[in-house]
Amino acid sequence: MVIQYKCPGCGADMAFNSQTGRLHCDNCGHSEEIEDYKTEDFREFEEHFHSSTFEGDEVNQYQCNNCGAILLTDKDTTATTCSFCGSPVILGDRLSGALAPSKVIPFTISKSEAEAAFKKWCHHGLLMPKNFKQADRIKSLTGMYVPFWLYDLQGQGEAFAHCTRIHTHDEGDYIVTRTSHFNVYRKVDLRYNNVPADASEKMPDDLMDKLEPFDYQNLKKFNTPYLAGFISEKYNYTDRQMFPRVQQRVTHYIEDYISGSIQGYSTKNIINREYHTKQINAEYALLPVWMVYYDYNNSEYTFAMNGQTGKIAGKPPLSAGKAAGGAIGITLLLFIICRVVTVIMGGPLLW
Amino acid sequence: MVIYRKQPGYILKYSRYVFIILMALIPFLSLNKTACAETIIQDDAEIISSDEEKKLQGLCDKILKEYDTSVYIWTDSDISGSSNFTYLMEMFVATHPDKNIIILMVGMCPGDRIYEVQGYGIAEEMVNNKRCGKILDDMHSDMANGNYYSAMQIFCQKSYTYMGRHPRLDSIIFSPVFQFIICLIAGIVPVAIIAYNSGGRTTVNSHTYLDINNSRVIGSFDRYTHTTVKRTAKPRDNDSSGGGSSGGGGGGGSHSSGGGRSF
Repeated sequence: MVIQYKCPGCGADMAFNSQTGRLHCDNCGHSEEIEDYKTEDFREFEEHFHSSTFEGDEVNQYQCNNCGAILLTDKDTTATTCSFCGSPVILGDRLSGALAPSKVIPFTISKSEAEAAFKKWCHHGLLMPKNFKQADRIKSLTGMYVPFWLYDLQGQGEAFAHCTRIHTHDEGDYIVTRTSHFNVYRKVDLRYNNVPADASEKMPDDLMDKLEPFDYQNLKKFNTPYLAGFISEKYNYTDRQMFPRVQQRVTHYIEDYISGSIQGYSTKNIINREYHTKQINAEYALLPVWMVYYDYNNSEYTFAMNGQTGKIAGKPPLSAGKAAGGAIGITLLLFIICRVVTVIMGGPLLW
Repeated sequence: MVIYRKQPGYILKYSRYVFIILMALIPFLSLNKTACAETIIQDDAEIISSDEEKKLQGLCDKILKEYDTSVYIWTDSDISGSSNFTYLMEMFVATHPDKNIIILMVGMCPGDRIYEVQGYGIAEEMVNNKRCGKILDDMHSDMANGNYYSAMQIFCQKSYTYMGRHPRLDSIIFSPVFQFIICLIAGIVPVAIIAYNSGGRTTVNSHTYLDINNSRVIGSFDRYTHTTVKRTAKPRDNDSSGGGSSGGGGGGGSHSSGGGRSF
């Protein structure tokens, strides 16, 4: 089932506009509020396609309603544009049933803003090679809704710690160090909301982690028009499959919380701990990411930009010369300052 | 005519008094200068040649000129026993009117050869115990090998260097090598941090997703168990490495000392 939004005024394709947050017709300027938009009814459709769509690596063929061309999609694509006529298309069968996202953060950064932000980022990269900093070799810039699981979690933890308070004072020719020892115990009950975990196998986890945080004020109930004009993918891993990753993360958070609750000691050493993380809820959400593919020195570099906040992640090439120059420059500058201070205090300039 | 006769008479009369007053002042004016600084090389043990003595005199005069500090080098072949030795050094200094003195004494008594450096006045501060010890250590191999002139050269050169540099500058923080290493670390670390963070930083922390209203500590205790007490001797703020000791009393007054070395 292919969904395309046609302008009721002129019949042209409509796409989501990140500036206004509305469905917009570039042709006549007509726009429509998405939150009021009728949610697609996939029920009838699901009955036909349920068995064939969600299993295995099978690739369904979809046809563009606009030009009739076969849409080139892979098994995870849920929204794309027709490679022949450029019309935004949404593959409804991959957004229904168990694969229906419940939340979405719409793009707030447009393609041109993303490009400008990326160029600015490159320009400010202190250690990037000069040619790279010009940011003139952007191969492609793709707006993509990446599938995430947003977990609500309960974290419980208990820890026993050995803590000390150390006081020192002078007694004649001696320094007396008094160390008071304490057995400390903490038990915590914590709630974490909307902890994200990227559920797409294509997206590198570390890259996606660095895009956080997303502003959940703008987390909206999912509706298909948000995807119009962007690429979107369905999840590859269920919330159960992703849980160990998020559990590991929250375990660190619990430990941090407990450690933060032990105050007023000179030293603290947690000697025994037990943490439990329980999933309360997990929502399937699509979060906006601009993917930047950049050619430099015969290699392709991939960067990801938070489509809501503009935060960029991705390893750029670094110039060894600039790094060495920077380190040597700082070293010499500081060394000169040190020697000048030494000379002012009556010492020799060098030896 | 009357005037001509009278004038020379007046001049002569007053000139006589002025001359007497000036002559009376001379010892105070000139002696004050000369008595405070001089170089004495008294080689009773005859371990250096007269040529070498002259050269050393030149080095010592440099210290004298720049730092208004006298340098005495005294060698003797009869003195034995380290306490005698120190006492004699102090006496030697006491018999001279100078205030700022660096003295090197070499005792060549067979079987009890010893040498020692002491600083008095400004030199007590500038060539302190630690520095005296350092000079003795630097001289040691030459003294042991019989290269007395070289050893004495080291003594003069080191004394000159130390007189021009306050002892607080001996601290490692003023060492160029130490400073360079620190600066190098301070240069590399920020660049390494920038390189490490070039791929984007993780900016979420344990509080980003925490629901504060529904999170709390539900059980806790802080039980005192015991106290341990440790006593450590205060590090002494002295410069006595190399066996140095602050001298005092006797005839020589307060001075710095390297503690002497046998060779």
